Amino acid sequence: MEISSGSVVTDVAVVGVGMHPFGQFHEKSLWMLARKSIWAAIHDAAIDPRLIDVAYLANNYSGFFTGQHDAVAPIVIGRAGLSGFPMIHVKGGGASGSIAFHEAVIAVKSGLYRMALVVGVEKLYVPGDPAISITAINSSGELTVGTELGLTYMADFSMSTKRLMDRYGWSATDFALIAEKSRANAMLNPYALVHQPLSVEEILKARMIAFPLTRPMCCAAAVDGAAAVLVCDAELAARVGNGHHPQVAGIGFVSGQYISNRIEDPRPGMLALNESSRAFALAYERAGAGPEDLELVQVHDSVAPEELLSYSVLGLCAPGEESSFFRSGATRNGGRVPVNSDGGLLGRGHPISASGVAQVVEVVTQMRGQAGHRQVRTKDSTPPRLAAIQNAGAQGGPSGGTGVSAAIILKS
Amino acid sequence: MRTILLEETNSVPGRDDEYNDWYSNQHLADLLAIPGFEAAQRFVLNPEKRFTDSPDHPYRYVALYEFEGSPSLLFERLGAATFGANPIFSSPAMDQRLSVNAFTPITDKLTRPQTLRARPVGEGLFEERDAEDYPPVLLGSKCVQCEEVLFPALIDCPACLGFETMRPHRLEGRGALVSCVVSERGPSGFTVPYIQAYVRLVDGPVVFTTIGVDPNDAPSLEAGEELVMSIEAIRRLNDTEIVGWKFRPAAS
Repeated sequence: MEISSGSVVTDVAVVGVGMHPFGQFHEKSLWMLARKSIWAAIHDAAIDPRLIDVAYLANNYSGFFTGQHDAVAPIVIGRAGLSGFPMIHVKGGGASGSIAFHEAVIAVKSGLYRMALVVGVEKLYVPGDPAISITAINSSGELTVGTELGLTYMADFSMSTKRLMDRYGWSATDFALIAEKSRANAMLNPYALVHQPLSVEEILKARMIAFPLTRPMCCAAAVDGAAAVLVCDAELAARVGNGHHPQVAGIGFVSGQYISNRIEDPRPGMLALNESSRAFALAYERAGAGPEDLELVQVHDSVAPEELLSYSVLGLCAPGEESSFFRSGATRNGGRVPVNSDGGLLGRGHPISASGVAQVVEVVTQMRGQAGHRQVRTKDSTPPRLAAIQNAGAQGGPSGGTGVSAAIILKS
Repeated sequence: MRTILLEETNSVPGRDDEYNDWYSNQHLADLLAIPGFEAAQRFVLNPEKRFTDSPDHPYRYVALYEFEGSPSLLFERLGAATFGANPIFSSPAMDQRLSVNAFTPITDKLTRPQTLRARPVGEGLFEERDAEDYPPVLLGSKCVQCEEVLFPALIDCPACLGFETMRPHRLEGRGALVSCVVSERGPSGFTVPYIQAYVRLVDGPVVFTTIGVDPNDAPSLEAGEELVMSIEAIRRLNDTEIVGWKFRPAAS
């Protein structure tokens, strides 16, 4: 395909979305999960697959489990029958999917490519061996001074959650209410892992992972799944699909910034979302919008308190008001700014690299008004017109902060 | 149950080669063909003795068989196989004054304890030293330009972006508890539950550690509590012990 003439800075639209359900599919190979989502996105966009001229594949742990560390992109995408164009493998903890999306947007925005495929796929479920999944995921954090010594993400989350409970007066009931909402939303999502609602009492009484986090307050990551989207320039987008293609309004992308050891609180833990705060400042500025304009939000809720904290980090409410803001119903489907309308990580499941792409799939599905029983509407009864995604992943480095944090804003 | 069959024999004088050929190349295999026989091995008497005045052993050859089943089942099967003086179970080169006995195990088969290999969690992270007078230290670095102290050690300073301004710096294995939690799940090789924690070292940096305290006693750990470090095996993967640091309350 020829490179467009004139300005190389172009608007970028999402023209196709596809999913393989998230769950436990031990009998399926990585490529089988991926091909299902890839072809679903191609059919959704109603394009000739020969239009695709670049692909970004997000996958973290195929090397860990199978020894296939390299050549993952051409192998996985090639087995969907596609070939001949550049295929690029990216990884970055739970943000791998956002990295792939970010790169695809840059590729199209540059004018060098016109139709980019983004795939996030992961296989993490090993029957009868939950420790091996934790060991795999731990390789997304710094090994020598962290995970090899016994650090687990859920324990890190627990420690930072306890600080926030002290600071903001949050309670375990707040977290149970969040988990209850996520599961209820997931019940309306055919691609979600969770198929069983739980009451607040059941969630509080469930097995403790690390105080105060019980099992349903933590996302399940020993999960398999895939998600794919197709992005292209606005000119090409106008000629494919149904013509209703949400566009990328702004992206903010940051990594953890070093904090001096000489301050009082040098290492606030994973649940500080300092990086998300910086990423959203960039995204809002680039989109020319603010938190008050958002009509739908997808957040990276590894644990229930992370969703609660994201409310103030994204500016949906003031710091310290997260619990009352949530209890007002604002973030439920039907509220002013629904958060995690498809169940989020808690309800959808978290096959690490697939999650960031699945967030884009849900936002686009909602903005098109195609979300079925979980469709959310604005006060004007329209599908959401401006939506945001918060995604984060990997940990380590001298800062000990999040490796990659993404803020993506889409507009109708 | 397992039975050991011990067969002690001699060859007919002058027919040693013929006897060994028959026993090693035919007889062992014939016995292994009998159901229940799982292992067979021959031995020859060595002339060296532990005590020079002990009497000479009456047999030059020993064969040891492992049989899965009781001694009575063993002899029943052996009897059935040799019934009718099947010629393959004897040799004219064998002295007929042999000794055949069955033994029943009275202990488990003990093996020398496996030696574990030890591997540090990472290279150049800590120095064990003499625990009495020189307690273990963490190997960090300090910036000559802005005095930032870091662990693990770096060469360039992330605080002031100084190029090659960091110098090796030993960090004391003492600090204050920032936060801790009992984890009910862990990676391969950890025994759950166990206590995970962050500790603020007296030299500044915050490090992750496990706490060497019974998880049931975790509620007694308080933020700010003084902790000391020891270097020890923190987990075991197959035959490898991974050595790293662990903290405990200073008072205990």
